[in-house]
Amino acid sequence: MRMHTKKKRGVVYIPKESIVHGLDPRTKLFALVAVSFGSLVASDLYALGVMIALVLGSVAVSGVLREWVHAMRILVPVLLITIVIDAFFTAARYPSGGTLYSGDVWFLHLEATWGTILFAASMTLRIIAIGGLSFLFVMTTPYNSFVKSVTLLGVPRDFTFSLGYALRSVTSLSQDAANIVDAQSSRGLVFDRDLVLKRPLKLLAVFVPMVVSVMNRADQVSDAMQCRGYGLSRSPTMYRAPEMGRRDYAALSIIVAVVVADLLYAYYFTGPGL
Amino acid sequence: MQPGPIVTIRDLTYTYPGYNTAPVTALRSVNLDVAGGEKIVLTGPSGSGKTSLLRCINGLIPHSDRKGGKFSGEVTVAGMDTAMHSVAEISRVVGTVFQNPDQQIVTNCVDSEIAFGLENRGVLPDEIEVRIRETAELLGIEHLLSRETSDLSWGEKQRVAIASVLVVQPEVVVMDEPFSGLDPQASSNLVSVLDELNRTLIIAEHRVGHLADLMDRIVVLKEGTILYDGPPGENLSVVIKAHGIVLPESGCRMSDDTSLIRSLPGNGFDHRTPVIELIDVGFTYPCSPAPALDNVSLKIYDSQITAILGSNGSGKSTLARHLNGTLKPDSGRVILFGEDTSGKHVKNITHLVGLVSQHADYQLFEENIIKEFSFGPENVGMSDEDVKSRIPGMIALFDLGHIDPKTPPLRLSAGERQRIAIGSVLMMKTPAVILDEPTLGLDEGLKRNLADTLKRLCRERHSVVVMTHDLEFASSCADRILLMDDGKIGYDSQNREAER
Repeated sequence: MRMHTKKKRGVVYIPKESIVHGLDPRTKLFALVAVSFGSLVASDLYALGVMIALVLGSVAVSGVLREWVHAMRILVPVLLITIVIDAFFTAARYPSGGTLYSGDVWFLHLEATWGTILFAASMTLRIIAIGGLSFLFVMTTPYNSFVKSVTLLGVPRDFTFSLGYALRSVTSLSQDAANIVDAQSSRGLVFDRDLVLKRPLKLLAVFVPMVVSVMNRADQVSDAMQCRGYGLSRSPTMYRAPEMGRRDYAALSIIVAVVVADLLYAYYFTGPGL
Repeated sequence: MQPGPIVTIRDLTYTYPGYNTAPVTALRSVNLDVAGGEKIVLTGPSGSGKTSLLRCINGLIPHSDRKGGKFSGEVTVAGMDTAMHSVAEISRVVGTVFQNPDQQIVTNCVDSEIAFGLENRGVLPDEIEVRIRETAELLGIEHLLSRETSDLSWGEKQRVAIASVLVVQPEVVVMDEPFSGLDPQASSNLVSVLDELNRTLIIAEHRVGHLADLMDRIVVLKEGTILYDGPPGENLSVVIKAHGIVLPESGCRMSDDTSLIRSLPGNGFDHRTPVIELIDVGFTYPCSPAPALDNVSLKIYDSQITAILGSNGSGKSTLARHLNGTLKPDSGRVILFGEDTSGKHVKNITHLVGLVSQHADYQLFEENIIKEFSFGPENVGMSDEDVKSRIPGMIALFDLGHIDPKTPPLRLSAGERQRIAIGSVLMMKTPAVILDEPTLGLDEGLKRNLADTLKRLCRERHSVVVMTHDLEFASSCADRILLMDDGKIGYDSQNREAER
């Protein structure tokens, strides 16, 4: 038999034993904020290159390189749009280096200079750094640990619990949606372009059962939570609360050192960010 | 355990509000005492009030039910009047296992799930660790502790849900059909665990045969009234007969009663052309470590009811969705009426194979029963006259005549919704019909009606495939029985007959 091993695709948690997986979610969250800040403030391509190197280094030791590369494909359309807009439509703001191209396409006037090219490149690197590290965070952090970490940061439990349950429900609701589509397909409903354009009322065949499913689920989970004593104690405990370890402090030190050094370099050699 | 009854119910009446329908009185002047440590089973037909009674004991009624419900009488649990205490407060004493574990699980890791109730009570993490280990050992689920809840099978989820209730050591445990979806071995193990449990147990269950050794008392409900309250025995049979209640005689769900399977006729080796043929079909869901269908080969013939038995997670639903083309195999071929489905869109198959999905709520959406019955036939091009002429027969067939046909199906009871879902697919007059767990929510009387309907379809040369874990239902109507386990066909009564 030809066996198919279907990998997890998309930006989802990938269970692995790696240094990045083992870090406290608060450390990873801090790294995400620091690198995002550094990437937005720095304008120099070398400085941004250091941020990219930091992200790629983290990906390399995370054990999810292949899945991360696959997930990054999602950003390709965003990157293409960013490159086109920044390279051809920002010449008035970045005229430096002389004009490389100037012309009209349909009703649009396109103009590219060295300045716009550098700006497009820096924006591309920023998106890759911030998007890439965000993806890595999701792919290496079980949402349960994330929710516990956010609770430990002082966010109210009702909010973090709702956040965690909402994240968990994504899988359940997508399964429900698939089951409903299958059930109505089995009753002869054809899901094609005509359904939306010519017979939109037939979409109720999916919409109504989906709403019923969501409402039922909410009702039953709410009942189950009450029956399990949710809200009983004013100070509920936390089983296996995430704890900061040596690795976390080492990682935090490296991130702070690299980001601060990078920003100082960018500030003293190239001035404040764009 | 405290002396005297731990649960006292006096003159309890509860009426659900109606929306576009008449209010339904689920419980009528119910009186019941449950002593500490006692193990009782509530049974009765669908809609008899079993679940409502459990919801009154754990406080969900009156605190968490629909607005407009009318509650009267008194329910006291361990000295607490349930109307005066919140559900969370009552949960200190009463643990609840719901029928559907999927809708009880709130976290993504098994150990966190079991810890949830203890965290809510402020139990310290070290103590939580110890209690999780003890409870997991009791239920034999130590190997599941590090797993993600989304990766568990139905049976595993059910055991985790039970563990998450037992871990808080409530004095009273109420369970709503906890054996649904468990295979015979798991059911037997659970009965052993419950038997040794030094707690008050109140179990609502359709099937009571397998609980005979466990229960101290049986309470039979019909239309919200207690008909019998006492030890199982001859008196019980007299009461049940007198009130025309149909209860299953045995508690077996699947292949534990192999004599029943052996007694079934296999049709012998069939030389006819199969209506549906699966050749070495394999299918694996994304992210799943094991195939849902593992090299399945199977021939389905017309004028035959084929029952495919298996516990939840054995691959029945996946197989059903291959039989009507909504899933395409990763490997192998599916041949429908002589044609390979690999290049075919599902829209070209629905007029040949109708599929009744496992949950009626995935299908029903129309504003009344007539439109619900018409939806499928209209999609496959059946004429208006033909549709209209078939509806009265379908309403009669599924005993829906007492309901106004203009009633929205979603307002009806679970059993009624299930019957409408089945009827709406049978309306399409497809030569092959597949029913995925059609007996969910049906009581014994309605199951017999359904079995008769399927037999009639079979006589009209239809091919009928029933996916179920209800062996009694299968044995009441099937010509051929297959057993599925871990995505494979483990037994085929037809092959056995041919071998003989």
